[in-house]
Amino acid sequence: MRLTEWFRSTYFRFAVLLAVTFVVAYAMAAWVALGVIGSDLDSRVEQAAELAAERFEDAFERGGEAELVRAVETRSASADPDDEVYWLGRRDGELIAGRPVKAPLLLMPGNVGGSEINADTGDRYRLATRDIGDTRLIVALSFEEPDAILHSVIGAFALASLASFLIAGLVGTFVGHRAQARLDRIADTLRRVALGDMKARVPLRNAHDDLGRLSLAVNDGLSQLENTVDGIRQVSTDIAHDLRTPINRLEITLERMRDVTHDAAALNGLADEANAQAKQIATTFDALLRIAQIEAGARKSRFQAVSLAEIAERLHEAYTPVAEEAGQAFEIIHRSQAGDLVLGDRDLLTQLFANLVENAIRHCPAHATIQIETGTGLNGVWINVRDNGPGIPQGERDRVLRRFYRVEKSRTTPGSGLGLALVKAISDLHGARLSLDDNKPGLTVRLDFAPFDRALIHAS
Amino acid sequence: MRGLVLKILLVEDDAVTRDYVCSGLIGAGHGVDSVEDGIDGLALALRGGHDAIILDRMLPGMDGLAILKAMRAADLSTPVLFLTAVGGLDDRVEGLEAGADDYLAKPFAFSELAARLAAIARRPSLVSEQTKLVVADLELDLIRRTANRAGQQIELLPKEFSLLEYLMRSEGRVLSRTMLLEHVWDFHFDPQTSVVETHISRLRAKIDKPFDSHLLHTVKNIGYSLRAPD
Repeated sequence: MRLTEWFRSTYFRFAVLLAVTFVVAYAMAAWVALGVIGSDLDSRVEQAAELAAERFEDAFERGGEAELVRAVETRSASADPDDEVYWLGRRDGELIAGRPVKAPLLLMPGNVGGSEINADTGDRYRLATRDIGDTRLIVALSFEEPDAILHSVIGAFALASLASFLIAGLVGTFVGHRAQARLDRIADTLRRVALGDMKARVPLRNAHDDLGRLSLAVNDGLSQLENTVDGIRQVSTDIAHDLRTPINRLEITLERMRDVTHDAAALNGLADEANAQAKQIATTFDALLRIAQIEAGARKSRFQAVSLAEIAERLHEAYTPVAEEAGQAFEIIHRSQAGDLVLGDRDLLTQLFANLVENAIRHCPAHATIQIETGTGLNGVWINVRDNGPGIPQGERDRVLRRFYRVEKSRTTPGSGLGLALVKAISDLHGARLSLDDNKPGLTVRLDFAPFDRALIHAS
Repeated sequence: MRGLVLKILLVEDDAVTRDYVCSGLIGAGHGVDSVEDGIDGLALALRGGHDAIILDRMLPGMDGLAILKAMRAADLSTPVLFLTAVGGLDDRVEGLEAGADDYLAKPFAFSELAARLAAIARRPSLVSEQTKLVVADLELDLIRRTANRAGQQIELLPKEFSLLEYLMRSEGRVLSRTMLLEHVWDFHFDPQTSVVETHISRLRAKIDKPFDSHLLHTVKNIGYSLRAPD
């Protein structure tokens, strides 16, 4: 990845934000801590200054001015002049004991800079003053120690901030880089798909985190897309293929009409033929459009409670004579009395099972038995259409559900090759499970539907 | 359609279809008002005086569904035959819900249109509660669900009874295969097997075969018709 892209990446921004957040948090913590610690330490110095002044007052109480002067001298001698300054003088400013200061009469209790008391440090000092007898006492204690503590606390905070900034930045960058790399792989995959490589998939390493789940979802979506695109590609090829022949035939018929313009009867016959051929083409298109519309799912809004047994009953009534004409038997079996409702479209479901029954009638020889069987189980409502005819070889059972696919043997029988594709589309629309099995001999087509109440909950 | 002259309003924007339907209707002796625009169509319809209206789903100006709703809202009860596009799965339901009397998917054969038009145009506005249908010497008792011809009892299966009832109610008119499928079996698709033909031939074997004159006639390429011998 180029540097500019890296700076613009979400994860880089996230790492920087994280690091800055740490620093700001530390700064706020430091500000609060310094305030608390600082005022605490300052008040200790103030108390120490007052305490020292009081001691000198005690000395004056005990032994008068002489004792006071001695106490001040002793203390002043032993003190480090940078830390503690004592001044004892007359009210007119004359020094009696201690160290000289610049303007003793002007000094008031409180905080002063070092220069005010002739100290050569840059520290602050706390002043306590007393008027004892004829003298004036000034005690100045340095804030050097608390300031040093504060400085080291500030230093510690600064160091900690820097460390967290670096750690947050580095960890954020590292984690971000890895995540970014994974996002890039997803983006790359999608780019490859966009360029036409429908087989491209996101490589999966760690499927358990959010990016892993995203990758899985992307891959699932891509698989669906691949199927759809394959389907569309297949359909376009199939349309071109399967409609060429009937259109060709129609062209030939129309051409032949030219040759018989003098013969009204022959012309009529050919016109009928052309009409039938055009109708067949329209029927195929109609079926394709229907399948496409059903697959688009718009029809779901009209779903209502439909009884599969009622549909089976109607089909049985309609197709029994047809099967009998073909020398076949058509039986109906109800495995349960009630509760066979499913959520669906009655017209489409009727067409679905009619297609299955018609397939059985058309592909089975005389003396075959066809059965339509409905029932309810724990997992929902099912319906079976069974026959003991030629069946479908195992390897072809999936393929027969595709548009225009026809088992080799049935190429010669009439049919658009769309019947089972429509069955599949309607079944998918209803969320039903469609399975084709060996009836030993023959074919069993079974559909499992969610029970009505569960489907209703699912739909809402 | 013999002897029956209808005044029909055709609202259709496709010139080829319009001419095809127009010339067919005029050829059959009907009067036709034809317009291509939805708004003109509604204006003409509201002026009244038509026995039936053929309404296309997709129209410039105002679509067929809106015209139909506006007509029904204005209490105009002229029968409407709704034309829908190929594969228009929901159009049929929407059309019927909006008050259409029948629908027909494009592309259609003129004979199919004519049969449906005759059926809706002659539909009596008041449903007469007949208990017995009679065509020549064939009688259908709707209460006892029995049939007899020339005094001879005929055993009919439930679907054969419905089929015969529909044919007898439409006496003299041609009923197309699709109309029978929709009306008798409630099938809204085109079966790939001979459901209608088989039932008709079984019905024919019961009501016509044993008798001298035939009532149930096949109209080639269109459908079936039940009528008394001339």
